Amino acid sequence: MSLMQFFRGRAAPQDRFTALVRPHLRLMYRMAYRWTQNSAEAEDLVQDVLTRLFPRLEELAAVDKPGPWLVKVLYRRHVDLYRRRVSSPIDDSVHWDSDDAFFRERLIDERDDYRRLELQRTLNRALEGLDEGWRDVVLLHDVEGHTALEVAEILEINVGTVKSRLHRARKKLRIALQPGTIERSYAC
Amino acid sequence: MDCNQARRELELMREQNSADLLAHLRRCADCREGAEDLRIARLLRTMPAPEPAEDFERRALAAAMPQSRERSRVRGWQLATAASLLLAVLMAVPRWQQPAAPAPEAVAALPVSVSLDTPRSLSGATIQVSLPPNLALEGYGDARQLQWQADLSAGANRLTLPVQMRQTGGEAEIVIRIEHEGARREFRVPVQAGSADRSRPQPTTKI
Ligand SMILES: [Zn+2]
Repeated sequence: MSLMQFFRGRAAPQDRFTALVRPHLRLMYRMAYRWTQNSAEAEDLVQDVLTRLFPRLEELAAVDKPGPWLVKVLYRRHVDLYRRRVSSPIDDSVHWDSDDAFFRERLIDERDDYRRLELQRTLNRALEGLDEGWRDVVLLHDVEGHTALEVAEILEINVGTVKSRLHRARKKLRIALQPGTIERSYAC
Repeated sequence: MDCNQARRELELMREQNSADLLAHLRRCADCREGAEDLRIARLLRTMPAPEPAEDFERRALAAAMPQSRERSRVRGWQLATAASLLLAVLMAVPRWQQPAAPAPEAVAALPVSVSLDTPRSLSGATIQVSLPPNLALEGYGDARQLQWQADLSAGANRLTLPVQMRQTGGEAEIVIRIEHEGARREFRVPVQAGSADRSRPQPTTKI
């Protein structure tokens, strides 16, 4: 059977779904983790998205680049779950907090990389201070390596906005890494 | 060395930069900025992330299939409910700060009031409170962890913890976990003796 036949419907839906989605599961999990900063939660988010995607198999099969498409679906679901809290008297969204516990463990484990990890922890913490729109762009583009075009498509904004957000976010991150800033704000 | 040469050498990511490059960076602010951007880009690009649990891919796919034997651990609406639980710190006022009531030296009371906001009622939710070694709950001795069941009604639910600080000064973090039908949510409430300005609500890890 040719690959195209496989995707067009000869194979069982379960097998087609698995073949389409499986290569991107790690990417989805990692992206979910970047957004939730919690690995158990990232797994549940991916699980939830997969369950909702299965009935959309034909749509998925017709997609040109499934990777960014799946990340977009994941992003929409994440926004639905975590950010649509307009009616709440307390807060309008769930705070994004750097997963410090993860870095703490890593820092104990990997003494050799201590300096690099420390800087990365500082950067990750600095992401807390960014508007979520800027942070999304940094996570997708700089951390996970999506192109500016893909980021624009995933977040449904234009490429110019992606680039200007990146530019401004990096400026802020640069300040966070300046010597002195690290010790002052993040003594532990 | 000109800017183009400098950028080229920076891109090479050498362990040690040449004296020429360093001299150029010392006098060229543009290239210094460029070098810093490159450094940040590399740090971000290699930002670590934990691995998913073993067998995650197989389990996740199996659970997504209709009539699957492998039941998804959490159903969509439960995940949504857990994710939309919010915690706000209403009050974390160190009493010993008030001049009228000087603090006893060993133990200071710091009642922490939080509001748990849920979009729907959660009956039989499990609430678990974990304390760091420098905090205790009045009336609970040295217990580091407390757990009880509660019915949370839709809207705001107030929870007041009679926290005592064992040592004055320093920071501490109370962890409050809410579990309801398999969906979990975790909140970290920072408590800092000596100031009440850290009472920003900080819901963190969910599920
Ligand atoms: Zn230059």
